[in-house]
Amino acid sequence: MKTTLVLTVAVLANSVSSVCLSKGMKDFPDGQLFSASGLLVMGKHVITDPWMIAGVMLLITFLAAYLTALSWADLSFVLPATAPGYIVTLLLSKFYLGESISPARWAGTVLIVLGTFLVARTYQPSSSTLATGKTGHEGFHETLAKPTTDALGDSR
Amino acid sequence: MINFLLLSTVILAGAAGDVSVAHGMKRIGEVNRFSLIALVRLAVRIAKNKYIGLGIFWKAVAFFTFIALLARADLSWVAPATAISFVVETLAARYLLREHVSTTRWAGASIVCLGVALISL
Repeated sequence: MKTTLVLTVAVLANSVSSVCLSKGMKDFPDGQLFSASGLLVMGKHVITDPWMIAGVMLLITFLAAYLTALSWADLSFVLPATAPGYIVTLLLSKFYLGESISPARWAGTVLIVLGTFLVARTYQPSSSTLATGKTGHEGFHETLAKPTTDALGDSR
Repeated sequence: MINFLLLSTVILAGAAGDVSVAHGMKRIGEVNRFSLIALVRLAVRIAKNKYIGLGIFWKAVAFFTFIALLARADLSWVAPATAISFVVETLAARYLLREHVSTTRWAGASIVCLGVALISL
């Protein structure tokens, strides 16, 4: 129950965060993206634009909820439980951002969710690697919690 | 094409950030004291740790590249496309870390790969 609630918050915060960031960046001038001064302009945009501020806040909410869930549940459970978030983001893109989504894109996203389920099945529950890796899962979306990282960390 | 380059940067910088932060936190050790003084000391140690600083740098690179990508591409492509990180991790586990990668994981990574190809059509 507690896990369901926290993971629901994580999924919604992550999807809505992406929508806010997407909305906040839509009218950002393309030419500014790849210039040295563009980075400064982008930095200022992130801390002044209401959509960007909301997006970053929600990202922090997502991280807090995700890391909290990982502190008592295994990645092999959390990963597939949050994978349907890809579908939530797609629905929000369609109905809120008004993007037109081709059948191929729907099919591809469903495949990605299925692929995530399969990859998650290979993460052993309660292994020591996962337990010690929890502190390393700082990131900005659900794909960032990864055993690869933990293993790399261990090997050093 | 530029979008795929940006996507690669998001994934690789994000992974570099994860590796650095995880390495830094392992050097700091397990957090098991939660008094105010212990937490302040912990914050100072984290702030001084160069691996964590490097990790935050890579995370910042990943974030700014991610929002630059959002300025150029549809969210309905960017969000699912980031799942390609599962493929990158699987390849890194096999070829950089020389870990054993199970058939299930290869199958999962291949399906994700196929999915990313489909959404990019």
